[in-house]
Amino acid sequence: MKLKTIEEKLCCPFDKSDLDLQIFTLDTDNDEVLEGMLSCATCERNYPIISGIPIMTPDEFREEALEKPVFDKWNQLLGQDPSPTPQIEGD
Amino acid sequence: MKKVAYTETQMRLAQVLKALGHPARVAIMDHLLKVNACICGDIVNELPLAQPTVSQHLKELKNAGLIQGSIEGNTICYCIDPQDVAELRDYLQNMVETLNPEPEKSCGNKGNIAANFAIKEMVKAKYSLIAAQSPASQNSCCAQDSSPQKIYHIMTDEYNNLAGYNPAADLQLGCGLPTKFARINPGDVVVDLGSGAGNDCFVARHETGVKGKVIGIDFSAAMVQKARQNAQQKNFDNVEFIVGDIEDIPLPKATAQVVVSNCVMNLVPDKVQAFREVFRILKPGGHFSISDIVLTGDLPAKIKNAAEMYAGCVASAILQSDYLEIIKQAGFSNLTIQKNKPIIVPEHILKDYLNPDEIAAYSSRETVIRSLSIYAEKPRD
Repeated sequence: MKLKTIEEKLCCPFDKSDLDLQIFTLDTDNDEVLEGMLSCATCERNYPIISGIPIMTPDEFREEALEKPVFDKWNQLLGQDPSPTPQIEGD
Repeated sequence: MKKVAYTETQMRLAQVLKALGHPARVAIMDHLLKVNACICGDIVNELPLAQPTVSQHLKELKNAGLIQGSIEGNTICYCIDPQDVAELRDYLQNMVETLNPEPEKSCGNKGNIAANFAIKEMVKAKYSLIAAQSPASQNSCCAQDSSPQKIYHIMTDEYNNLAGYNPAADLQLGCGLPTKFARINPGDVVVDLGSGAGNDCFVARHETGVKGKVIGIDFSAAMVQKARQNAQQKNFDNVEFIVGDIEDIPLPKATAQVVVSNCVMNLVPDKVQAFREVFRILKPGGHFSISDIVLTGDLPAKIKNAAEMYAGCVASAILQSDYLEIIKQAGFSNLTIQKNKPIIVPEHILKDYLNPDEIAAYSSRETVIRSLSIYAEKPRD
């Protein structure tokens, strides 16, 4: 997704707060974010951008396998644990 | 969270549906369905994935019981486990049949969270599967077939004549032409809810021109990947896609001049919330044009089964009066029905479900299954 669209249009689907963007891969020719992380300071949810697509589905429909590589990269960059991805299994 | 005791069946089904919740595994299942035989040896050449990745996915499918056989070592040989797949089919079928058009059950009842979760998981799995299929073998919402040999696309309108039409993006899943009636102006921001492979987005983009913007939202990541590829192939840099939920749209208020949606709202469990979100993201004075399937009266269970074979949306369709009431309650004004088309189930499909007398009785009545294109505005203040 274009950097401009992300900055101007996207918000947290749940509380509609503004999102912070961390860019991992930017296609500078098209000004498009190919990989990154969107974070909501209000509800502390994180939404990855994978292959140029923001993944903003509710907690219980997130796909751990799809998102894990981006979260791993994020951990490395920040050198800390992000808030864990919500899980449906377990208790 | 509180500990909940689930039944064995619930645990199993959750596991099976979760196993299907990845495009690679859907692609593997799709391949197995296509060859309709056991695969001994390599599937890697058929998929854009590395061997270790495929092994991992096969393992998950086997753990969930969707495939049987040996998936490791020198004696790799596996196929679909028909018993478990049949169980899944029965479950989904039962779910679809239970969703009836009675308003108290179908109109945005947020209380039934478990059922809503199951519906969404089913929709996601189903459309991810469609996205993985080739355009010739679709099994869709509004153009569902009853066997791989029979494909019906009768409910879809002709897009070919519309400017901006992109055949690669048309999976024939719609039931109307919302973009035709959407009154899109150059420079508009248009949001397409349930954008699929991007069909309506590309038609809308023709109207907005380069100065406008089209944002497609779909629940299936596999569908969105397909849509993005289609946009890239056309070099459209103002058509963009998000994986998201229509009940919780990740766009701020007053974003769009126009919202379109084609045969998707009927799949959303909480329609009240969905139309509230449409209202929120529209600019004051903006409008929507939405095509969908509704019912104008009772549909006996047997007819519903036949109709479902013809058009997948019918099972989850609600009464037209309830649908329109939800729109009014959300705050919309100037509600207009732009198109109202009867859906006639062909006799050769009816005869699989009804006896000749029942067919005669059904055919003598006016059909209660309609495809509507609905327009409404968000008031200016």
